[in-house]
Amino acid sequence: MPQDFDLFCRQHYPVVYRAALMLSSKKEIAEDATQEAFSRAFARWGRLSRQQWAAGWVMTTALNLCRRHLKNSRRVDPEGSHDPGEVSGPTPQRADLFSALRELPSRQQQVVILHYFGDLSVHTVAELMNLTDGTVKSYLFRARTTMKQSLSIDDGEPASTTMERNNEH
Amino acid sequence: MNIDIQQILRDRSRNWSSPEPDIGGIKRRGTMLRRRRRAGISVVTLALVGASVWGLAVLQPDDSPVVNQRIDPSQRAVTGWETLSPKLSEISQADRAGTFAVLAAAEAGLIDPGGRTWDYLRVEGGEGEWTAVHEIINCITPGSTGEICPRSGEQVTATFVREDDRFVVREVSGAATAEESSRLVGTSLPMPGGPPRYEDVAVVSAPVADGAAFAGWLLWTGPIPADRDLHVLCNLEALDADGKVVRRFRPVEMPRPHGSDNPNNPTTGEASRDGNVPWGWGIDGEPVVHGDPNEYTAEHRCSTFWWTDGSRLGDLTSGGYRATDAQIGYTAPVFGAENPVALQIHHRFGWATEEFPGARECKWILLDESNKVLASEPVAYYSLSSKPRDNMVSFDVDRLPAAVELSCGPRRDDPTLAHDASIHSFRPGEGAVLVTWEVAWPHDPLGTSVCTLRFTTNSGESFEKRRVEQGGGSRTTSDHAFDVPDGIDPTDVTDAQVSCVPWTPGD
Repeated sequence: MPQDFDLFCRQHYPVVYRAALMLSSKKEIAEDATQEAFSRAFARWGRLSRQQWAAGWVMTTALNLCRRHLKNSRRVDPEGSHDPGEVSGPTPQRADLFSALRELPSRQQQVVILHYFGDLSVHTVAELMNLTDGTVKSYLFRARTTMKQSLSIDDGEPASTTMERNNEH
Repeated sequence: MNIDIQQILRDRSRNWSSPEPDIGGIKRRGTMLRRRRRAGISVVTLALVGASVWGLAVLQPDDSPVVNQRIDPSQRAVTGWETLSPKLSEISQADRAGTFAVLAAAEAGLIDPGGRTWDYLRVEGGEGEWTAVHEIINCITPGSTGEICPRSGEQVTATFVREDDRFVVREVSGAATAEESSRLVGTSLPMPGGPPRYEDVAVVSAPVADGAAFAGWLLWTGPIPADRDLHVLCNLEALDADGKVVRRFRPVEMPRPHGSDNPNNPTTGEASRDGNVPWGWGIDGEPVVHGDPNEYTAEHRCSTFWWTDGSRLGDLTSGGYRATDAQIGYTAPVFGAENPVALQIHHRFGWATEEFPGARECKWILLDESNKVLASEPVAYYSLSSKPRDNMVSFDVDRLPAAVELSCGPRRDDPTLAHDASIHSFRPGEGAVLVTWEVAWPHDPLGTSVCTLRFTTNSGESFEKRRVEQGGGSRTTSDHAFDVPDGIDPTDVTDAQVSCVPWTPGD
């Protein structure tokens, strides 16, 4: 059943924007990427509206745009770095988490955001990123391990995770 | 500490206020994008967007003389041209000792990307005697899923000494098995030397269901991080019994040798665990070659690319084409190469005017100080895009050029002939018709055609799609997806026809 674009846009815009902000930490980059991703979705809405993974497509597009923007801006300013302070009201734990997320290799970042934040199944993430399910799982595992290590420094206790989900297939 | 990262991600971002979507703006931009997609030819969208934006003039025969434009590097403030040496940092004795530790373990069969492996951690000591510390990791056999090479926490140490220009392993202790110890003790190898490079440590092929999977292991022998702009491109290739490459995996680009905390000698196992090397094929459970796995072997093939400092050459224009942002760099094969052997000029290539220059025979020429040709590389250009695109030419040279030239022929070489295309089959896809067609270009040189596909539905409706065909060669078969217009179900398409005409600027 085709979805109504306006409804789709209002429903998913905040999530896609937050995902883009999570990756870029720059409001203007996140805003531009989100706007452009939805524009591209509108250009293809005839086909996309029938897809259950339309929101995932938009989020993937937005993340790709963010990454491209960050890559280009790094070329211009090699000293430039993300400014976590631009995200309102960081707390130490959150700073650690997003810092850990941003330090992941780009594909792991994308997989984590799409799966855990975008709520997409492993299979859908694999389809969107043109990977196999096994590779997505592998990226998730590595990302979890890295992030777990980054987050376990608070109290020195060994970390365990409850990130395993039931809908990975 | 129990960490639910999913919950944290959501909780922590919940308070981020999202701007209201500008739906009107999104739709205006989307409509413009859609028009571009439809105005152009669907598959080569970018090229034709460029063409439609620029508004091509009717092409007039171009009989102007060949234009040679030259860039003389000696006239520019270019540094790093004194020698072809990549001039990376000197490799320390500790790095060389670490390299030996990994290579000796590989020599003794203790590095197995598909099984129990000694994973190098560090080297201690000096002054003629070193102790290498490894950790046992258990790499998962290709075909299973899970973590790549989980750590066991068990460490082994190997003590080795320098004897003249060789290192020799004297003693092994820790969690090594008796067999492992006996294999490693006495291993003797020349002291690693030469410029930093990747060493091919191990490649394994493992049988999986109805085929074989591969995993590979490389070793960076230089300091970390490398002090120059260095890129490495690697392929893992599956070879058949005759040594023919039957499958080449996507190249892996390592922008710098594993940004690792390990100060020296990380292996690709480590890089893979860090996620820096997306070599997931070893654990995907998918055979990369089918049939009897014993018939296949695998090899790494890597090249390393060093950019020099200040290597920008500027722009070159000739025959309707323009090369911009030309940069020069060196490529070196990474296994055992003492010197770089190839020079590359990376540039962006596009039209010099707003007219499609057509197919041209061009030539890149490297000249020495006395104007003699050091090397030349003919290139047939037939770019349909007015927007410059990344391009690269490569030369085998033994010294640097004093000047670089680009020279393109004065006339279009593409004849006004059309590709011979026919539809082999078609079937409905997701919002598109999937077409298998055959196309041939029985002429020389290369040519460009616009092919129009006409689809008819069971209710008599029809719609057209266009596609640019480039290149030459005998009859080839390829698959393409063509979006259907809104309101048409791909399953309703009952007929498809194709006809091609020579490309003209108006297309």
